[in-house]
Amino acid sequence: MRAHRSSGIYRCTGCSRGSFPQLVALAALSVFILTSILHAQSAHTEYQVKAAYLYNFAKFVEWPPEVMSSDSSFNICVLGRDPFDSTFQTTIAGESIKGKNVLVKRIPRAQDASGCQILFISSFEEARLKDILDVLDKMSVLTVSDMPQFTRRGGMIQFVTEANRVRFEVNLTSAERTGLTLSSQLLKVAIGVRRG
Amino acid sequence: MLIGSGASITKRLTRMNVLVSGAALLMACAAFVTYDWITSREAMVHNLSIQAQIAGSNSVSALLFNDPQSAENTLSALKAAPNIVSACIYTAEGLAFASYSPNGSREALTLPALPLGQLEHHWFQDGHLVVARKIVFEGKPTGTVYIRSDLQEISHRLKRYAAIAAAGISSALN
Repeated sequence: MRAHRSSGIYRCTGCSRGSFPQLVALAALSVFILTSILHAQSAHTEYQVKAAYLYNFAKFVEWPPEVMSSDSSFNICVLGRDPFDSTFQTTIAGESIKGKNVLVKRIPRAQDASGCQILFISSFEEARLKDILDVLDKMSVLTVSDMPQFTRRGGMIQFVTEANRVRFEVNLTSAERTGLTLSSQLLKVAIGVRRG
Repeated sequence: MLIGSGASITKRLTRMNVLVSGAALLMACAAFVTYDWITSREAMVHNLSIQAQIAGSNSVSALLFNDPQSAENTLSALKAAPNIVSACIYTAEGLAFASYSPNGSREALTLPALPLGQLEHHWFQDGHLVVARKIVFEGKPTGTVYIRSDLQEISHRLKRYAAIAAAGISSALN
């Protein structure tokens, strides 16, 4: 498109009525790309925070001694589609919990969670949550998820985003039933503590 | 004349005795008050340090899970100590996280950072005592807590001592 001066007014020679929809489409595309980038960035930050929280939960939870002595590493597992990508590598790489190196494992089935201390259940597993929790019922595994109604349905810790901040609520009964002890410091910062 | 001279010497001796005794009493009182002033300051630093430790260790989860409201609730327990005029918690990165003042104002203290490698530091400044203490959790610095107290307790104590000493000295000399 070029502009030329005619009668003292600059006119766009390539600007016909037909190019207006093209401009609108271009603007819409730009907005879409920008929104996608911003969304990707905020999602990345959100899961960085959630990864850090998973690590921090371990500092305020006590597992039964037999669980902690059975493995040489502290295993944080992700069940289902992993929303963290490489976040764990940047957030908790090289960290240790209770004197054990932290390992992050991706597991396809709930049955594989026997060596895990913390299990993040992807929200993509919502449809089969009941089956997963039934399998985990006998294991001392801290279950965490960001799927809605997670603590109501028997999960232990549910991430909740409130005013752009990641918070969490706790189902204390579910945790205590499997022999886990949650520190009062952790319960103090939870937005809700469910019993039963 | 002789009697008069004798009376004068006695008076002078008595006056000298009174002066010497008074000076000795004043010096004893000064030494006592100075000692008490030093020990009171030490006790105040010690007490404020304990309060900083308690506030800090109770704010660990608030810092780790980014919950300033919880940290402010913890700091608000300091209202039980009327000498504390303000307190605040900073993150490990040095950002203001939570604050407390008895009148409810939320101004953050602008305070110097802790000297490198030091867990705790205190200083007397503008009629206040400030204690700064690092919050360390599982060997890692998580934040810093600052507590500022007025020195009214010490000044009230010194005034009481001065009144008692003045009363004691005047009754002893009369």
